Amino acid sequence: MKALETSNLNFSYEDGKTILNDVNISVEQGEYVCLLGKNGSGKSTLARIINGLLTPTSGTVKVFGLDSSDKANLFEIRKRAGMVFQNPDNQMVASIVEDDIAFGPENIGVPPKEIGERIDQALAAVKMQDFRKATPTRLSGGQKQRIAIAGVLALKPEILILDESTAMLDPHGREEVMSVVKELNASGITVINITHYMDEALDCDRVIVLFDGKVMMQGSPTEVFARSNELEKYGLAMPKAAYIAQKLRAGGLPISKNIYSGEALEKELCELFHRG
Amino acid sequence: MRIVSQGLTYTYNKSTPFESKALKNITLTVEEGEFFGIIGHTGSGKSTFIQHLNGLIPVSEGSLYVGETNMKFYGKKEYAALSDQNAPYAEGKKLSYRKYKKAYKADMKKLRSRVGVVFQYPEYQLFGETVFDDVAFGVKNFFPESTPQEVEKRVKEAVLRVGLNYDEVKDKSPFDLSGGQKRRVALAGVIVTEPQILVLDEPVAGLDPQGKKELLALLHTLHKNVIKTIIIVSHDMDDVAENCTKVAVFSKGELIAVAPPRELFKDGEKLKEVGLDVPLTARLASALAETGTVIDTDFTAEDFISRVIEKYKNRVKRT
Repeated sequence: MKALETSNLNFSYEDGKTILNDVNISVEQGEYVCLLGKNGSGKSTLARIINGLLTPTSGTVKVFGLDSSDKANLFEIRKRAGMVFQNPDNQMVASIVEDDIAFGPENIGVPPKEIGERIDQALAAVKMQDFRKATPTRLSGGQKQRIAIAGVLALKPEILILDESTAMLDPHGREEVMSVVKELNASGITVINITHYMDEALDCDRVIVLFDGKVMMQGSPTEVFARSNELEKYGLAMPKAAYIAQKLRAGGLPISKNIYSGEALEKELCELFHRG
Repeated sequence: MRIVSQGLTYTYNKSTPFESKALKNITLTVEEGEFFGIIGHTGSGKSTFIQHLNGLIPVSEGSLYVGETNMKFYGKKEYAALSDQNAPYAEGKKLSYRKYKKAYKADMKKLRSRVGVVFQYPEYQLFGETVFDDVAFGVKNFFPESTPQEVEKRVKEAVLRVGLNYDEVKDKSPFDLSGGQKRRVALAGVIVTEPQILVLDEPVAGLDPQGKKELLALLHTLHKNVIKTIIIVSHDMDDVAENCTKVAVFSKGELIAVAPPRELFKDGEKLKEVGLDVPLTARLASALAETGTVIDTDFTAEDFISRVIEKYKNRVKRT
């Protein structure tokens, strides 16, 4: 069974403005997918539809085979597909970290004894064990987002949806969150990361590019980043290392075509100048 | 207008158990005409510093001049200890403390129309019913004697300067605009008073790559045409390397370096010591230096690329 499958998904507002236009995507269980698109491309709307926060105008969304248009399924879908939003300050509901994480499981009626265990596990997964009794307002942005992720993990979701969850963080906070997300994916959780940081898409399994509510590109990061002209047309940009590599190649340096990360470019450049 | 701070120090929650020094002895000059960058971790003191620049935080210890304006604010006891000659706004005779405070406040208000500060995510601070109302607020606040025609002229100019179509957006609710447009409206609301200095805290945070490129280009246009000095606070070393003429590095409330990118990023060790990264170009250049190839660059991508290509061609010619 697919973790997520949409068919001919359309969404428009009452004033007729079309946000999603015939979107067909599917995500395998355990996959790590990055959804890229400029502001207004429809990516956040898509996330909200997956989670049942918005209802599509037409078409269907199935999460583990459960149709989100059937209200009876919503409870189950939200339990299995957890979402983390952009602003860390808007997602805290309690004044102590452990209460904040307990909020979700309490809501779905998890027995109190098990809630304690879930809090332990969730905090360990995001490496925040030492902050169990801390006050969320005193944490850094990266730490707050990890607590928000822990809050979702306490519901034992099978899909984790990140809606620009690193956009408001500094580079250090972003790194913290992304490394936790990678580990969660390695442990089997399906990840859908909605972002416009191209670097975050470098080590995912598949990239989906949305533009004007349509799926324009789909493929491995290598395949997608190789099509730089198209990316630009859709308001995106290559990772900086890829841009520099491309320009150097155009200037006559024998740099391989599939260079997208800083590490890879550094290695090639050094070898090149060392040899010569 | 130059900005000159000497020994600027700020303590939060002074004389309480929560006392903490946010700024320690900052001595820094920002010359008129710079496109100045301030970098540092969250909590490094950079935000506290910029809040001093337009008097949102009054100077308590040390000194700060923004143009001719002395930003120092004297507490009651401190003021009482001043002589008639040393007291600000005194013409031979010191003012009463109440009058002094009033004069200081008026001075700060005047200054704020000349030093604009755009905070992080300024679009969250929009409040007007229409774009026009929102942008006009600054004019009405700072130049209350303006006629409606003057207000309209200034608003129109500001909206055009941030790259929006005036006739299209002026009657719209700012909340109906896209994220990038909202940010531009917020920026228009600040430049509408025609400040000479514009300070922006993380101006491109949260924007997509195209939006980021456009906003930075807009800032350069403003810098070239209307605003003398621009100061940006940024986490992104690549943005700083690409855009700034000079950079100040803050760490734990201290100023640890001030230099143009060309010098600052040549030796990344100092930055690494305080847990900051260097731009990608600097990282590549220092790796190349280890193989014996020195790239003399200002660390902008274009300059780096052309110098590496040049080096490579010379090598090929020789061999």
